[in-house]
Amino acid sequence: MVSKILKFTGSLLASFLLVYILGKQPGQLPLVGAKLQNSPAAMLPPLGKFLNPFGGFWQNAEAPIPVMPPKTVLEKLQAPVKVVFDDRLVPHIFAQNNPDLYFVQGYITASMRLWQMEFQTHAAAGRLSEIVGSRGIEFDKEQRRKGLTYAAEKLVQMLGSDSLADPAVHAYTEGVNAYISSLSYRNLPVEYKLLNYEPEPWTTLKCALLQKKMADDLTGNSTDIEYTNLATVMGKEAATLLYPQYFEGQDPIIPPGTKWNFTPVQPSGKNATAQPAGNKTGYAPVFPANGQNLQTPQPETEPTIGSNNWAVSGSKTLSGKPILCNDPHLQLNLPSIWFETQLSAPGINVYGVTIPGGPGIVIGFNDHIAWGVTNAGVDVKDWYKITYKDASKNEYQYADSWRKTEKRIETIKVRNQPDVVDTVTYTHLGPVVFENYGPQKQNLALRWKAHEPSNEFKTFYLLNRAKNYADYEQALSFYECPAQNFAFADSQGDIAIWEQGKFPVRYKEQGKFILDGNNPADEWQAFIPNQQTPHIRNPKRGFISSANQHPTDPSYPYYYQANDFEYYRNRRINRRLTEMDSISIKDLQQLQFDNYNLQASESLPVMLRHLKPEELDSSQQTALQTLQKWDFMNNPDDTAPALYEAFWQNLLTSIWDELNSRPDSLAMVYPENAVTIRLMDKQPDSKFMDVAATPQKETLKDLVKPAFTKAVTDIAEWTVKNQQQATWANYKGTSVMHLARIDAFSVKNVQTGGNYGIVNATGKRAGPSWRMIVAFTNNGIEAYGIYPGGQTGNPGSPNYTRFLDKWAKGEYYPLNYYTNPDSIKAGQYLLITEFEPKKK
Amino acid sequence: MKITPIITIVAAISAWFFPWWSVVIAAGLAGLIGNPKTAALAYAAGFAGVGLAWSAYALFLNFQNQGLLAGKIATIFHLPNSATLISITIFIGSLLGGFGCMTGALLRKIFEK
Repeated sequence: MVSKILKFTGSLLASFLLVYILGKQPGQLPLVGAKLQNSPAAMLPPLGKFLNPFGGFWQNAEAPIPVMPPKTVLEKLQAPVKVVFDDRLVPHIFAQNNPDLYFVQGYITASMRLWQMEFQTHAAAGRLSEIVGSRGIEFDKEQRRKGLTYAAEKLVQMLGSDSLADPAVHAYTEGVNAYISSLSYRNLPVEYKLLNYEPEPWTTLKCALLQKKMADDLTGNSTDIEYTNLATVMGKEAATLLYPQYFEGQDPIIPPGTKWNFTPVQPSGKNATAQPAGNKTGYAPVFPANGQNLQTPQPETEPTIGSNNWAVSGSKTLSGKPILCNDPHLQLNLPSIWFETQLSAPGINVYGVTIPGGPGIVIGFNDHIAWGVTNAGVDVKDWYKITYKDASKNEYQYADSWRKTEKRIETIKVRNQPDVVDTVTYTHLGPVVFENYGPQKQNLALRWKAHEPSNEFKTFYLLNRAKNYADYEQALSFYECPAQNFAFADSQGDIAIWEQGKFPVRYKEQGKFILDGNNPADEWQAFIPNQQTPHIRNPKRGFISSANQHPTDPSYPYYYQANDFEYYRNRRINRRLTEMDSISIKDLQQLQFDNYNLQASESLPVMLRHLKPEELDSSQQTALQTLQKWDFMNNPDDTAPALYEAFWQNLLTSIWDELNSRPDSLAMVYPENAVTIRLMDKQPDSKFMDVAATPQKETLKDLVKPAFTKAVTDIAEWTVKNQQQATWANYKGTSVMHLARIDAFSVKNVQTGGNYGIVNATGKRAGPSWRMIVAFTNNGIEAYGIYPGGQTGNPGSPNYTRFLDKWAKGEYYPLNYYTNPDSIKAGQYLLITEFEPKKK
Repeated sequence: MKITPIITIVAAISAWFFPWWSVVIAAGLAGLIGNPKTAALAYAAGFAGVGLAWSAYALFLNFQNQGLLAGKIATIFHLPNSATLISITIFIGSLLGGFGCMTGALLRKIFEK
C-alpha cells in the first residue's frame, strides 16, 4: 500500500515538475535560470505552451489562403460593414458611415499587423525594455530624453478639440481594441509567443506616438553638434565650404527663376530687436561622439531615407491626362511599414497605403485626386546650450535671469528586473536631452517642431476626401511636421506640389550650430506663413517633382538648411522628365526603377583622371577597364558598380581622415558627396586632401591610386570570404529586416540594383518602401503599386514576403479600386467577410 | 493499449478548449478510468496517445504551411531542420501524456487490491 502511494506520488510529482519546467522560460527557472542568464537559451519561450500544436506557434503556420469568419458581430458598430479581400489580401472596406469605417479599419489592420503596431509604438515611447529586458534600457532612455511621449500626449490633448480627426482616431482605436479583446493565446501573432508577452489595449496615445515616430524618422537627423565641432576646430570658413547652404548646379523643387510674390515675415515681439550672438562658434563647446568614443562616420552603412515623387501633366502624357508617381524610401523592414487598404463610405472612396496604427490613407488616390509625399528634410531641430543655476537643476539661465525648469520622471519598466528611473529636465525650449555632455560638461536642450502638437490626422482625413486643388490646399494647411513635399494631380488635369510644413523664420545660419539658450535672439521668433512655403501649380515645364533636394533656388527670401539635401536623384528625374514626351505608365515604371548612377558619372572621371594605367598590375588594369567600360548603371548583376563603390568609399575615407581618424575623438560628419566631388574636381590640392598622419603633403593624386588598388584587393577578398561573385546585388546585400531583428524572419541579400542617390534608391538597408503610379484616364483611375513585403505581418504566412521578388525586379501589381462592393464579380476577390452590429 | 485512441481524442479536445497542460489531466483521467494493467503500459498508452494527437495536428499544420514557419522557428532555436522541431514537439506531447496517464493509473492502483 505504502509503495503504491509512493509510486503514485512520485509520478504525480514528475508530472507537476514537467508541466512546471515546460511552462516557464528557461531563464526564469530556479537554479538553472541564473546559469543560463547570458545564453540565448534563457530567452526561449515556455516550451510546452509554445510547441503545443493546439495553441502554440504551430497555429501561426498559416495556409496560403487565410481562414476568416464569414460574419463577425461587433458591439460598437452602427451598421453592417463589408470587407472584400482581393487576391493580394488588400482589404476593401465598405462602410455606411465614418465611425464604422475607421472602426473596421482599426480591426482589420490589427488582425494583420497587431504585433508590429504595438512594437513600433513601444519603441517610440521608449518601452522596449518591457519586452526585451535590459538590452533595451539605453535605447529607451534615449527615446524618452527625445520626448516623443511628451509630444504625443500634447497631440492627443489637441486632437480632443477637433471634430473630424478625433472621432476617426477614437473609432480606429476602438476597432483595434475590439480585435485585441477577441484574441486568445492561440491567435496571438507569433512574435508574442516567441518573446512570451501579450498585447495591451490600444490607445489614442499610440496613434499619436506613431505620428511622432514618423516625425522623428523624418526630421530627427540633426548634425548641429558635428557642424559645431568642425567650425570650432577648423574654423567657420571650413564649415561653410564643407556644409554649404546651397550647391551650385542644384535643381530645386520649384523651378529656378520662379518669382516670389509675397512680403516675407519679419520676426516680431520683444525679441525681434535683440541681436543674435555674434560669433556662433566662439563659445562653442566640442563634443565627442556618444559622450566618449569616436563614432566613425559611415555613410555607406547609414540607412539613408528619402523619397521621389513627380506628376506629369496631360501635355506630356500619351493619354493627355496627368500621371502621378511616388516612392518613399524608408528603412526596409518586415512587417512592411505600409499596409494597402481601400476605404469606402458615403463621402469617401480612397485607396492607398497607410501606416498600421493610424486611421486613413497616407499615400494614395480617390476618384478625383492622387497624392504622394517626399520628405522636406529642412532642419526643424535645434540644440541650445543650457546653464543650470546649481546641481538641483531647478533653474536655468534665460535672458540673463533664472527661470524654473520642469521635471518629468521617466520610469522604464525592465522585464524581469527592477525599474530604471530617469529624470528629464524641461526648459521652455524643450527637454534637456544631453546632460554633462563631453569634457566641458555641457547641457543641451532640444527645440524641435515635432514636440508641438499639430493635426496631421486632419490633413489625411480631408485629403482622403479631396476633390480638387482647393480641397488639397485646404487639407494641407493643417499639416506641420514632418514637413513633406505633397505632389498632387487631379482628374481635371491639375498638377501641383507643395512643401508643406511649419518652418521657423531664421537668421542666416541660425540652427546650423549649437545655439545659446540664454540668448532670446537665438530662439525661433516666428514661423513662415503657409502661403509662403514653396509651392507651384501647373508649371510651364509640364511636370512637378521632388526628391529631397533644395525646395527653392537661393532667391527664396527665407533662410533654411538641411544636412542632406539630395543632388543626384532629383537631377536625374528632372532630366528624364524634361526629355520624355507622350509619356506612358510603362515609361514612368522604368523611371522609378532607373539605375543610372549620376554621382558615379560625375565622380568617376575625376577619380580616373589621377590613375595611370602603366603604374598598375594586370588585375588592376582589368579592373580599370571594367570601370572604363561601365555605363554607370547600378544593375544587380554587374561587377562595375561594386568596384566603383569600393573605390569611392576608400577614397572618401582617405580624403576625410581629418574627420574619421581624429585623435581627439570628436563627433564629425562627412560633407555631402556632391561637395566632396566638387572639391576633388576643382581643388585637387586642397588642404583636406592631405593625410594628417603622414609627414609629406598629399594631394588627390596621391590618394587615388591607393584607394583604387585597395578597392581591387577588397573586392578580391570579399569574393573569397563570401564565396560568391562580387556582383552589385551581392556586394550591396540589400536586406529587409524583421523589426525585432530576428534573422529567420528577415530576408537578406535581395537581388536588386540601385543605391542611395539613384532614382531606384535601394541601398543596403533602406529603399523604395512603396512604389505607386496613378494615371487618370477617360475611364477613371488606372493605378499600379508594390512594396517589399506582404499584407500579413505573420512571418509564418507565405503572404508575409509575397511581393518581395516582384518588387526586386521592378514589377508592379495593378491596384483594384472598386466603386461598389456588389459589382465585384466572383474571381475578382479572394474572400468576403462581413461585420454586423450586435442586435439590440 | 486499447485506451491509446481514446487518449488521442480526449487530449485533442482538451488541448483545444483548455491550456496546453490540460493534456496531462486528460491522459490522467483516461489512465484512471481505463485502468491499464501496469504502470509501464499506462505510460506507453499516454505517451502514444498524446504523441499521436500532437503529431497529427502539428504535421497537418506544417503541411498546409509547406513547412515555412517550422523552418524559421528551427533556425531561431539553432536546430538543424524543421523535422527536429517536429520531433521535439511530439516528444514533449508524449512525455506529458505518458506521465499523465501513468499518474492516473497509479492512483487507481492505490484503491485496488
